[in-house]
Parts: sequence; C-alpha cells; structure tokens
Amino acid sequence: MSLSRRRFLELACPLAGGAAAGWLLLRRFRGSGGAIASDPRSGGVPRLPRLEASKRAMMDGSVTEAMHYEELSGGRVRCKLCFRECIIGEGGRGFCENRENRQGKLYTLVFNRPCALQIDPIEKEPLYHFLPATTIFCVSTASCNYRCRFCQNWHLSYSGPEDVSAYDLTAADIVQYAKRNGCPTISHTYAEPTVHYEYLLAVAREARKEGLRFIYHTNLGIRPEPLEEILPLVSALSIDLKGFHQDYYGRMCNANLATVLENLKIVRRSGTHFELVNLVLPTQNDDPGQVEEMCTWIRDNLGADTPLHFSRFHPTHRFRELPATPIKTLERCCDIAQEAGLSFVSIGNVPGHRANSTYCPDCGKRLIHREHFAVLENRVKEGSCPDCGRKLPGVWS
Amino acid sequence: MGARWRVSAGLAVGGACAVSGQIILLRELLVAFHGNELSLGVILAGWLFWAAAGSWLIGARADRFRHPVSVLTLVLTLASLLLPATVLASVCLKKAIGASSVETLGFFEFVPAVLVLLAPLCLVLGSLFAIGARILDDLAPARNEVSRAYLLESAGAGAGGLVVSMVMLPLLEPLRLSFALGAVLLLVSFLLAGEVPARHLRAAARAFLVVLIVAFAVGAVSPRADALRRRIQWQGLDLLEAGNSLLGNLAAVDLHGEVSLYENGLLVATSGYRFHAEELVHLGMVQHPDPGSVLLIGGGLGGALHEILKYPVEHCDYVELDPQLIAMGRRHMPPQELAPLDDGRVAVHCVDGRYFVKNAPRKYDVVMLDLPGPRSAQLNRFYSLEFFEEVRRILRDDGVLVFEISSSEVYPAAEQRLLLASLRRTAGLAFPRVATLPGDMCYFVLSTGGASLTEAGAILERLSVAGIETQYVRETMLPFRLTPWRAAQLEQALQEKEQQARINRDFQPLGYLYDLAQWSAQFRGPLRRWVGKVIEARRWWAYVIPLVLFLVLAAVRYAGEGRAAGAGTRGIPSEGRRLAVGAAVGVTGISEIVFQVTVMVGFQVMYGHLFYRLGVMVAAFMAGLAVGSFWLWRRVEMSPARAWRGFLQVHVAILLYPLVLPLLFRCNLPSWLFMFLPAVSGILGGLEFPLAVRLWQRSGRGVGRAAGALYAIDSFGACVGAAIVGPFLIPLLGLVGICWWTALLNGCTLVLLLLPSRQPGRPARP
Repeated sequence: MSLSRRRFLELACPLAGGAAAGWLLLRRFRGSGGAIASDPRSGGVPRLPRLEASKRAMMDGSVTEAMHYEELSGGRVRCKLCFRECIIGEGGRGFCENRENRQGKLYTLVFNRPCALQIDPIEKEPLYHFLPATTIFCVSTASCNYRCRFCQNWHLSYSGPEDVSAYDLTAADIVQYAKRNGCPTISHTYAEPTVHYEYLLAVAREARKEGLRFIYHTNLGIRPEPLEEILPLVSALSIDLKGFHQDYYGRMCNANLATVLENLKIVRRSGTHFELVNLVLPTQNDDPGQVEEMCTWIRDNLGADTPLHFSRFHPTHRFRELPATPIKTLERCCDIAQEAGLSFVSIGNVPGHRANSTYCPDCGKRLIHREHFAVLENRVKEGSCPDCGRKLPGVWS
Repeated sequence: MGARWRVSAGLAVGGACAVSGQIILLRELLVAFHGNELSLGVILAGWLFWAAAGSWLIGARADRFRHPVSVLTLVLTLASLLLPATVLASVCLKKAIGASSVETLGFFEFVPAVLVLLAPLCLVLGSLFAIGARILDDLAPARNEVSRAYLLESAGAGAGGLVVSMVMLPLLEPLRLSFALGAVLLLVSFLLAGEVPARHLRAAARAFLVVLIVAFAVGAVSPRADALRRRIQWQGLDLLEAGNSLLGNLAAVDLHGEVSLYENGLLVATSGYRFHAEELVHLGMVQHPDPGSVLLIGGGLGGALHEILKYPVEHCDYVELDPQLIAMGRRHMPPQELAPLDDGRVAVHCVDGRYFVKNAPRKYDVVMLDLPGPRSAQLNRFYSLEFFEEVRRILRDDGVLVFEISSSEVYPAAEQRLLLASLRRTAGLAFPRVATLPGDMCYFVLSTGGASLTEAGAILERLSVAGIETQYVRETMLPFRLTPWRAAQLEQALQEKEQQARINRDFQPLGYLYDLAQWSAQFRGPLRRWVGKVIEARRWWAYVIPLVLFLVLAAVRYAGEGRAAGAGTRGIPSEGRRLAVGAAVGVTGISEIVFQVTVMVGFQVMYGHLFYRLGVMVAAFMAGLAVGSFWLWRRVEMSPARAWRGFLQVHVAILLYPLVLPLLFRCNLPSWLFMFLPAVSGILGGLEFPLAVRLWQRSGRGVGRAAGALYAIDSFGACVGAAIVGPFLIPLLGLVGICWWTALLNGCTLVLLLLPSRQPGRPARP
C-alpha cells in the first residue's frame, strides 16, 4: 500500500506529538515530587515519588506557613503547637524537625506531604465504640514530637521530612481517596498527627465538608489552644496513655505526662468521643500499683464509661529483645481496671481472647463479638444494649 | 627462677589474659549491643585504640623507669584488678546510660560507653609489651629480645585464647573466669615482686598480693559475684538460667509464666507466643500443594515445628546451630512446647545451616529460614545468591524457599526497601519466581514451580482445605494484612530501589551493609546519613584512600628528612625512613585484620561455620606469629643492613599475599589446608614487627620506646582496620576487592620505604 506524503504527515504528527507529550509527562513525573501517577478519583494506590524528588520538592519552597507560633526577638520564633514549645533560631527546626524557621517565620515542611497511606479496619486503630466493622483511610507524615523507645512505627516517627518519600496530596485528594475506597472515616495515625497540625486541620475541614468522619490517634502531647481548635471537627480520638508515671514518660518517651492528663480533661469536657490505649510493656509499665493508679484517675476524671484498651506489646524497635506481653499480665491489668470501676475494658492484639469483645457492663451480655480485627457479631442497637437498654458511649451510626 | 624467666612468664600470662579478657568482654558487650558487624568492629576498635594509647603513653616511656620490674609488677596487678571490674561494669553499662536491660542501644550511646568502659583495662594491658621488651633487653642486651617478647606475648595470647574460648568459657561464668585469670596474673606479679629492689617494699607488696590472690581465688570459686552480675544484666526479668556455651551467651527468663530463651542477648523464642512462627510456617507451607519433606533452619523452639507438624509431613529436618540452646529450652520451657523435637518425623541437626544445605541428605518440598536477617557476615550467608542456588539444588520440583525480613506494614523505611530490593534481585537470579508478602515482616516466597499464593483468600482457602487450625493466620487477620493496597505499595517501594540495590553475594556480602543501614535508621543522629553516604559512594573512592595516604606520608617523609638532613650518612636511619617503617607497621596492622576477616568470611561461606575449625584458624594465626618471631629470635647476629633487607622482603610478601589470596579462594582448597591460611599472615606479622623495632632502635632510642611506639602504631592500624574493614569495606569491595585494596595499600607503603633520600649523594641505607 502506498502512502501519500500528506497521509504520512497526518499519521506521523499526532504520533510524534503524543510521544513528545508522553516523554514530557514522564520527565515531569520523574523530576518532581508533585506528580502522582494515579488520580485520586480512580481510587487506586498513588505512586510514591522517589526520595530525591521528594526532598527537592520540599526544599524548593513548596512549604506553608505554620500555625500556632509567636515571633521573638532576633529572628527567633516560639512554636506553640506542642508541649515542648521549642524556641527556634533562624534556619533552625523544632524538636520534631517538621517545622522550620525561615527568616523569622515558622513553616511546616509536611503540609500536603503524607508518606504513609493505608486502608485499615477501625478495630485496628483501636476504636471499639466507633462505627464497628467499617474501614478508615489512614494518613501519616514523617516525624513525631515524642521519642518512644518501643515505637512500632519508628520508620516514620524517627524520620525527618527529608528521610521519607512523600506524596503530594491535598486535603481534597485525601478525601477523594477515602471516598473511592469506601472508607466512611479518615484517620490520621501511625506517627503523631500533631506534628503536621496544619494538614490535619485541613483534612478535618475537608472531610466535614464532604460528609466524612474524621478521627485521629494521638499521644495528646499538644498545647490546649490547637487542641481546642480542632476538637469540634473531630468525631473521635484514640489516645495513647502510655503509662502513669512521669518517670516512665520521661525515660521511655522523652515526654510529659502532666500535659497528657490536662489535655484528657479538655477532650472530656468537649464531649468528643475518645478511647484510651495503654500499651503494656512487660517489666516497664506493668506494675499493678501503677495500673491501678491510672485506672482510678481515669474513673475519677474522665468517667467510668471511658473505653480503655490494654494492648499487647510485640517485640519491636529498641525493645526487639523484650518478650511479648504475657497474656496473664494483660488479664491482670484488665482485672485491675474492672475492679477500679471502669466499664469498657478490653485486651488488644490477642486474637480469640474473651476481652477482645465488648460486653454490656450492666447485664454482662456480649454486645460485639470481635476477633482480632474482625467483627463477627454486632448486637448494639442505636447505641444501646439490646437486652437491658444500657446506653453505650461512642459513635454508632 | 631467674628474673628473665619471671618477666617472660609475665609477658606470656599478660598476653593470655589480654586475649581472654577480650573474648569475655566481646561476648558480654555483644549481648548488650546489637550483634551486627559494626558493633563487633566498634568493640574491637575500642580495645585496640586504648591498647595503642597505653603502649604509646606508658610503654614508650619504659626506658625512663628506674625500676621497670616494679612497674611491670604494678601493671600486672592493676590488670588483674581491672579485668573483673570491667566485666562487672560491662553489665552495668545500660543502666549507667539510663537504658533498660533488654533494650538495644543506639550507636552514639554505645560507642562512648564502650570507650569509657575499656579505657582503664586496655591502657594498662597495652603498656605490657613495651615494658616487658625493655626489661628483657636490659637483662640480655646482646640478644634479640624484642622478638622473644613478641614471641612470648603471641604464644601466650594464642594459647590463652584457645583455652579460654574452647574450654573455660563454657565451664566458668564470665566474672568467675575473670577472677581466675586475675589470680593467675597476681601469681605472676607475686613472682615478679621478688625483684622489687627495696626489701620492706618487697615484703609489703608480696603480703598485699597474697591477700589479693586469696580474695580472687574465693571470687573464682564462689558463684555469688556472678549471681549479682546476672541480676544486674537481666534486671526486671526473672532469670532462670544463664551461661555460656561454646557458641555464645545463653539465658532463659520467666515472665509471668512465659519462658523466653536468649542467645547472645537476642530473643530466640517465647513459650506460647506463636505469632511469627504461624506466619512463617503457614505462609510457607500453603505454597506447596503437598509438602511432604520440610527443612527448617532455626526457629524450632519458637513454635515453628508445632505449626509444621499440623500438616501431614513425612519428614522434617530441623537445623539449630547450638545444642546447648535446645538443652536449655528442654530444661525450662513447658514440655508440650518442645514435644515436636521428640516426634518421629522430626530430625534435629545441631550443625551450621549452610553446612547442612551443602551436604543435605535429601531433597525438600519446603525450606524455611527463621533467622534474624542478614545482620552479620555469618548470617548474610543465608541470604546470598550462592545460598539460594544451593537451596534450589536441594528442592524438589515445585519446591519453595521461604524466609522473612523486617519491614513495615505502613511505611518501610528507604533503607529497608533497599535491603528488600537487593534480596529480591538476588533471589530472582536463583529462582524463576519470587513473591513478596507485605507486613511488619516481609515474607519472601522463592519457588521453582507454579505461581505463589499471595492473596489472603487463596491462602485461607488452602488452610481450610487442609483443615489447619490457627490463632493468628486466619480470616480475622490475614485479609487486613495482605491487602491489595499494601501489596501495590510494597511493589512500588521495591521497584523504586531496584536500580540502586545490588546483588548480595557470598564474596560481596552487601546484605549486611544494607541491614546496617536499616538498623541505623531506627535512631536519630547522623549515623543513618553516614551509612547512606557509604552505600551511595562509588567504589573507586576506597582505592583513592591509600593513594592519598601515600602522598601525605611521602610529603611528611621528605619534610622529616629535611629537618634531619645528613642523619642517614652516619648509619642511622633518617627520620623520613623511620616514618616509612612506622607507616609500614601501621599498614601491616590493617592488613592483618583484612587477612583474618577475609579468610574467616571466605571459610564460612565455602565450608560452613564450624566453630572448632574457626578456633583452629585463630590458633593457626597465633602459631604463625610465634613461628615468625621465633625464627627471628634465633638470628641474634643479624646485621642492620640484613634487617633492612629482611624488612623489605617481608613487606613484599605482605604485598604479594593479598594478590595470591583471591586465587586460593577459587581453586577449591581442601578445608584443612584453608584452615592453615591464617598462619601465613601470622608468620608475616611475626617477622615484620621485631625487624621494625630493630630498625627504629638504631636511631639511639631505647628498646622500650621503639617497642612501645611501634606496638602502638601496629595496634592503631588494627584499630582502623577493625572499624572499617568488616562493617564497610568487605561488603562494598567484596572479598576479592578488599584483597586488591590491601595490596594497593601495601604497594604504596613499599614505595614509601624505597623512596630515594632527599640528598642523592648521601644514601640513607644503614
């Protein structure tokens, strides 16, 4: 078949144009951290940019001015986001390394820059009194304001923003991903969300606008003002109460217990649903006296209906050589909490254990039959026990 | 007994105690630290650094001591006191820096702690050789006493090291052993105290030493001190038993009724805790339609055998290196936990896993590795291309190899991705199909046959068909773990590192460098970035280092000759030549470490880790040192010119040896012959050192100063070698590359030695 010159040009030009456009797109994708291969609306897994591209994008100036800080003399600033209140000189960064002083102004380096995105069951959070058997769209950025020596997510929490390959996703993108993947809730979790507060707030606002629930898992080492600002946008909180002695908080987490306790009272006053998680490290924070003290404080200050999870520790991070928490230790903690008068005490990370399920504190009947992350039966009716009508704390619909 | 014999005994016993102390403390500190090549390098480098400092600061002043025998007595007594004190302090190390007893320390916590801990003992031990050499030289100035001193110290070190590691460590606990060693040192001090000039001082010293000897003897027989040490070491845990086997430190602890076993400070198994065992076994066993014959390497005490026997297997070989670990498990774990060990289908083999695979008696359907990842050169042998090929040869059709590597189910760090990508590339060269299952442990399924099961639904279905009951690997967990989202992310992460990740080979064990990188990412601090830079660096950088070093030393040499112009004309080696001799000794210190590590690693990958044979290799090295120095010692009348020629010849041999070594790796030497290779490097070291002292001595300086300074340089060279060769250079350059590198280093030094003098008319030849 002979091909006329005109026909050849008609065919070749679009082909060449397409190839050039493809090449340019490919270059853009390779060269910048901003582009993602898959569209959030498609619901597919976003493509991670390369670490180098990720770093470059951050240094190029695509940063956002931080909230909650005050300018001091000599170009220094005081970050007023978390309990540390870092004073940061020009060019310096706070303890979390996510917030940088550039010419007397504080910038967040992780706005729109999540690096971990997952879809998990809500039971994994753990939130047992929040839309059981639904999924959450999980988001995390780099770094943390604690330095827990037993951190399961050290890959994130011990990394600075340069150490991770981050996506470039706006709050609207996150909401689209959650929707397309059938998640009714967005959760900021894994590493501490406080250190990407501006992004947290943006996603919370967007989620509310789009009719999704918003929760986050926190160590609550935040200052009262930003906490009170975000609470109205939050449907529930999963809060780590790592121990009940300042010695433990200081030595094991480089953190401050008093802040957490004061913030717990604020959360309680706000009426936001929250559940407490106590990771039991054998030989470290499993002293019965300490557990009793903690449970009594919870009962007196937060109410007996506060759900409390005793989670089994699995060897990890700097405690890779510490055995997993013995079941008996967890059962003892559970008994202490129940004796202290707490109504909803559970044991996590022990599949098949009786205390993995939720029971009615009044009639003792099993309300939610749970095994590990799966809900095998849910008998809760309109937030109450179907047998005795006992009202249950939480978000059920 | 004459003074000469007493001093000789002091040197030999001092050498023996130094090496024994090193072995004891190395074991104790490896329990405290993470058992990777860097920690080993840090401990050895710390030891050698302080030994060098001791030799330089104290030993090099030996010529000024008015009563050197008294000083030697004092040094030996101090060493005897410091040895148990350091062993006890080593277990307090974590507490002192505010860490818990089973916590892993970060690099920047561990290094200062180790340096402070080792300083007093090693400073004292480091000075021993120079003081001894000076005394021997005083007693018989016409004889070649430096060789004798070197011979005695080496022979003592070799014999002491062998006896302690092979015989005494499994029998005596560390503190009791250090008291016993201290008592021997004190006995020698007592003998030497007879030479103390002032009578009243002599009597007082002897009385004091008798009291100490009695106290140490009590310490050596009493179990109380070690009970205290163990309480501190395992604080917070109810210790059931602790002890040393031939292969390492073992312990069993009770935690609220659950028994855990430790090997060298690493958690091996916990009774009733089957999380990892279930994952490994079931994710592995379901890959084969009918697994009849199974090989499990490690992990049998952690419940894996229980899980394997849930399937209708015909035979299961279980390989565990240390029989003492199984014995300890039998003593303390609930009987039902270890019942599978007595099952008729299970055969237990207490042998190195690599050795077993090379000599496997049958073929298998499923091979499973339950080992801690490629942390060290020894463990890396189970993740290399050659190992995967060996396993493939013992697999039947449709056979699978399964192993796990630490990862993260939410976000694997960049360093973890690199290791995972490297292993995937490596496995892909040996197996047609490689599947990875995401999670906090990333499971690798290497199969020779059909496609692997990677989806939760398919795995659960096969478990259901086989009627297997599980606690963790079931429908309530697996679908949330093996989500398509996670699988896609892991695939992306691995693809990202595919280009950068290199193949992990036996002779280029990059796996443990990648593992070191991922370990360093767990801690804040610059180590993570340093290791990252080392990995990213181009290899030719390593070869530039010897050249730069040569240029600097050549410049310094000429500058030195300029200051001492004409010195060579009077038959005295010029300052420049002395510098070159010193540099040669330092380079030999590095080279000896290279030879030792290369041959040990080479032997382990070629023939398997056989503890007794490794002991023979250490003994062969020490014997080589002794033979070399003995040969020189017999040549009392060696002229200075002959010494110079001899020194050059030895250095040429040290240059040629690393060029020959790679050929020896390739020509499949019988293992018994390979075991004696360390003797060659021993002989070279034994010959070179006394010659170097002789060449330095001619400058008019005393024996003590020359011996002290050169011993310091030798130790410092070895210190540098220990810090960089094992952890970084061997994985980067490979075993052959490191040999070329060493040859280049020695070539540069030889040129430095042979550089003509600055004034052509005045040859510096002595």
